[in-house]
Amino acid sequence: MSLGVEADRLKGATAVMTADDTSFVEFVRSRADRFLDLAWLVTRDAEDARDAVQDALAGLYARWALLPTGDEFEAYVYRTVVNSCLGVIRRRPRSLPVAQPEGLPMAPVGADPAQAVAASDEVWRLCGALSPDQRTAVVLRFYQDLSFAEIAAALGCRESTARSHVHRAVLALRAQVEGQR
Amino acid sequence: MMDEYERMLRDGLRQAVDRRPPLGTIDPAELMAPRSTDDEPIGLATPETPKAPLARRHPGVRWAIGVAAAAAAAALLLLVPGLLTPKPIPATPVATSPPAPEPVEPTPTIEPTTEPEPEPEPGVDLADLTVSTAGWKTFSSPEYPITFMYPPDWELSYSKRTAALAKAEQLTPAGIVDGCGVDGCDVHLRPPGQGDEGTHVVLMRTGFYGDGFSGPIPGAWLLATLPNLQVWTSADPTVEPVAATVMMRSAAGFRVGGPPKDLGAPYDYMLSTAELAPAIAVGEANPLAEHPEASFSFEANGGVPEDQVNTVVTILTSVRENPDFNPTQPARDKSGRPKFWMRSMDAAPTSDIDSVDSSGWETLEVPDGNISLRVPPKWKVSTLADDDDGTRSGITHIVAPSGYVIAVLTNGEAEFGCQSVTEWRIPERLGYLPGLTAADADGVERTVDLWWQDATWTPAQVWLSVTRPTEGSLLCSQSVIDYGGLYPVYVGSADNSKNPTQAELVQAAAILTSLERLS
Repeated sequence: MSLGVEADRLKGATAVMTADDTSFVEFVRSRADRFLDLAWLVTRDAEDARDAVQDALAGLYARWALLPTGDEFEAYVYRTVVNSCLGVIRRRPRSLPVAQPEGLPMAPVGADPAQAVAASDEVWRLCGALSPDQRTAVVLRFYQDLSFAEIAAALGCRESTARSHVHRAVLALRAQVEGQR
Repeated sequence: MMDEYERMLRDGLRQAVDRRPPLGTIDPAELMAPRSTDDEPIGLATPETPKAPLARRHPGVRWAIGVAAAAAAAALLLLVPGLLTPKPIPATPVATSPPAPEPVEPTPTIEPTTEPEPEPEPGVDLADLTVSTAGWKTFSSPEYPITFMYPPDWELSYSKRTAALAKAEQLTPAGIVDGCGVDGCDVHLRPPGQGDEGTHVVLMRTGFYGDGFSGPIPGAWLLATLPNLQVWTSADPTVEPVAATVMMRSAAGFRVGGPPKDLGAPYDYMLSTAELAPAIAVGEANPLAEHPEASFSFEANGGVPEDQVNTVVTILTSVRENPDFNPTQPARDKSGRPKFWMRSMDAAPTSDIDSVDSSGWETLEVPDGNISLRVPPKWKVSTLADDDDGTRSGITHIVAPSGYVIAVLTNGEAEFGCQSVTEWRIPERLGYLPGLTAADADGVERTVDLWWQDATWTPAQVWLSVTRPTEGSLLCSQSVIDYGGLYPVYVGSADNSKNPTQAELVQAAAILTSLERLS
């Protein structure tokens, strides 16, 4: 069942849904795909990504009425999703290698397909070599476009730690690319 | 250039998402199904078992946990001989020291209920607090301002840095030393047999020119005080030293009311102060004024499993000042500037602004912010498109021929930010824009000032802000300004662009001083 269809079904039941339920459904409808992207980039595994987002959203629903508002809400939501992703990673068997992304090097993207794929692979490899915390910081910065303060809140670390994670990832990418030239 | 690689990261991640396998959609009904109440049939799957109502916070819970935690810490400290030299470290009784989290918002979470209190959380079981430091190793490196003890089977490692990365960072003459470079360093401590996924206890030191540690720390509970470790939290000479503390916070909680149990175990533990200072340094005298690199954090990151709590707390309480702290200094050029810094400007732009020939400049209107600016003909204006989901970007760039960027942002919050005037890298106020005032975040009408700061590892910068009179040692300014538009506006340099030429810096200042209200 697509989310749109489900939302329509739920909409028909709004007369008996609480305002919190309604707002939660709307929240999931509008944000779930983005969270799945985030989880995919952090966990690098489709099933893990889905599990992480499911767990995070279920946890949010359980506390929905208690959550703060405004910026603190956003921070809390990201924190929950990120924690869920990192939790999934921690629960993995330790011997599990970083997997190649399913389907990543397939369809070319961009004006110069070969170059685009190469750059994309480079980024994927780099991110795979980062620690989960660093990778999360990079994804939040360059995919979710969060500020360092927001990344710090999501990771539960200091802003300078978030900056450091991102800065070092960029340096690592540069070293990787320049080392191949 | 760094922004080239940032762009590569940005594009690469987007392409990775474009190619990700289908993950399906998240069904809200599935998420909501486990929650059922007697009176809210929401048209979803009916739960077969009665569900618990939404958790309500009992105001005594945090106190109970805090008291238990303090008692546990006291027991721990008395049970660990290795920590007691020259004398035992008394835990601060929490009953007389209020817990430190931010004030709880008046939400339903703080309403007393008749529900039973949750069980105490990890880290507070007295029976478990029997950690002995016999045979433990001591970490000590001249690159770090503290020493600490850790179990011999725990793995200690530094940041993974390759030789290529070391070269790219242009670190110190000695290259990478114990995980340290100019921008800081860190030591990671993990339980045996665990890689990145395991518990992290991280000692992180600030860099030589670093911003220090900033940003909010989520609510935390005081666990123990280490009165024999004198802590400095600011370079401000008027700030007195305080005692170090071990703090405990939920890995999931973020300034939210509600029982810790509901906010999710596990917990993180950190060395800090009772006021939750974001940065600490140790020593008899305050080292921060001249040595920002003495600032550090020491904390578990990502949640400590229950069976490791006592060990982690013991590690944190074993911290001592490192009398041999003497970090390797960064490489410098002949003029004494760090090698990796950008070129300094010849001069501040102020004296040249009036001499700029602005004939032929075009007018850029930013209706959302109710302002206009004048732009030199060779500078290019680009506005970033809104996100696909309709989120407005609020970003316009005015780009100089060299790649230097003046950003016009209507996506920020109009609020003051403060820094100590004793801190390193204080910017310089060049003057104010004649005939232009704006209401600050407190509603006070102030002049709009032009500021600048020379290049360091970021390009030379100019920006507009309103500024409060300096209060004590605090300088508070607000660079996102309300000019009466739909959104407040930041007008100033982007910090991730190329360095300007001297002429472009002057032009940039002139662009800023051309700001006028549209209405």
